[in-house]
Amino acid sequence: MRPEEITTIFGNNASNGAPEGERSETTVAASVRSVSKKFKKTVVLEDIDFDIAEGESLVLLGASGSGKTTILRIIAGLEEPDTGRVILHGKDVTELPARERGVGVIFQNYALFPRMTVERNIGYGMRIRHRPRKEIRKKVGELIELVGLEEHRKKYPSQLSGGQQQRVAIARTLAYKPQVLLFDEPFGALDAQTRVRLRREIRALLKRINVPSLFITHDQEEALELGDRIAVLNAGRLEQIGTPDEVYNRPETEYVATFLGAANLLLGVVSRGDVEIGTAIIPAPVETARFREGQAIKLVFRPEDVYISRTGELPDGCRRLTNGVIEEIRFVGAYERLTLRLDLVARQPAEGEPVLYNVALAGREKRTGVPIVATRPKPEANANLLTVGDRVAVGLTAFRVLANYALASERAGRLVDTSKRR
Amino acid sequence: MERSVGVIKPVFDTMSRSLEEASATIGATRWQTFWHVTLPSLKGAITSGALLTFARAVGEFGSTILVSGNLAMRTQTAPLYIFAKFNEGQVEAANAVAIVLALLSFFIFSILFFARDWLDTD
Repeated sequence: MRPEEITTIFGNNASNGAPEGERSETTVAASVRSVSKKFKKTVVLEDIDFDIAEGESLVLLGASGSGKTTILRIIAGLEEPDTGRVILHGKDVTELPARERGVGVIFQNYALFPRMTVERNIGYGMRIRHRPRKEIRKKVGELIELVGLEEHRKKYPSQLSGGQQQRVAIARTLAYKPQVLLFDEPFGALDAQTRVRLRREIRALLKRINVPSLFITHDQEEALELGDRIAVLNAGRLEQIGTPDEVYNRPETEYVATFLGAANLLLGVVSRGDVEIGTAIIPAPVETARFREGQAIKLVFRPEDVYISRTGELPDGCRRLTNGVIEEIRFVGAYERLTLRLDLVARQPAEGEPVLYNVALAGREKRTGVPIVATRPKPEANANLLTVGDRVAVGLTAFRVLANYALASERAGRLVDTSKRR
Repeated sequence: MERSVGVIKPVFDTMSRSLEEASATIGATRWQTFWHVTLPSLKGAITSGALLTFARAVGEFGSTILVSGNLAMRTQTAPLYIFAKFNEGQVEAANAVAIVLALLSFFIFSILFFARDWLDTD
């Protein structure tokens, strides 16, 4: 099917319902405005705010129980928010029942009608709208072709594989030109290999049909691959919204850093443009500019950003952290994972100086030093062989400095939308 | 009646609400959802419920005789006929009707047994 044919099938979503002259509004397909929700006395969602742009795919990433499915159900109209609005293409739909919203939901179990064939499942939306039979047949044929299920049109859902069922579910929603597509954990029920293949297929399909979509997932890899932007949800609050690159490389909170990929965390303080981690001092004038002198911070860095050198020489752009000892080396397929114990010792405060920071010598064992995890790609691991017990210099090619709030309440309601900053 | 409820209710309870929710998001009214989605899924349960109720009704003795009496050709049901004829000593007549009833129950049982796949709800 050629792109222009697809456009004729789906029309131009941007013009759906949005009033003339509101040009900035037409680029936003769906908005959730300060939505809160409680179930009994448990706060499930707290002041959730985000937009989905036209043609964009946004991934809501969060652990189970973070409230992500509730957001989806509120947008779909299957759940009512306590406060806040849902806006689809410029129209406030908060009070509308699910059936009048024109939202396509792809349920986790696909929710295909078991007693209808593939064709009848896809045609359901048009049948209940009493479209002429001829039109239904034509459109269903086009959609079956679009999702590549020509050979299965007469089959029942129970005769299809998970991936095929999912494509039927997508086609079934596309039949009525949905304002936005909502995917609830779409790959949860599939094995790892099918999952990877399917999400690429779906991504390609969505780019072709250009329907804005929201994905719900707890799988960070899935989020990075599917999302134009990722919104990280933690216990009912949005922690950060940004492109995969921003969220991964510039996490704004500890939760984001540790939920998306692995991260090492060291506690420190800001001191004259440096980050002080016990006896280690890292010059970081740019990163510490937004903190006040003496503020408690967390140094966050990814295992792959750790540079290990036996000679003590570090490449340009790599900042020296401290020395350490290799404690464990594990080969894990594509890379090598090392555990190092850093020589970080609490700095003795000068006479009369308040103790701002002490290195927490973690672990039940009485060994000194702070453990971190580092990874090295295969070529690097082969070129510079390391063995357990080696003393090495440790540098960082990239890191983040985050405020170390003593209490979670200090940063309540503080959402950082990195995509809007520039 | 209570038999139908006994058969249909558990099926209804275990039915996934997501089918009905899916139907609603697709744009169906409650009635359309019930007609196109809920009812077809209950088809098997309703059929077996009806058959069981029918079988129970055919064999009913006590309440029939209490409520509507035992008037030949008017309110006399097969079990009452068998009982009456048996009491009168017309064992042949009673046996004839009893065989019809036995065949009928066998027929219903076969439907329930052989059409199990078809009646099975997903």
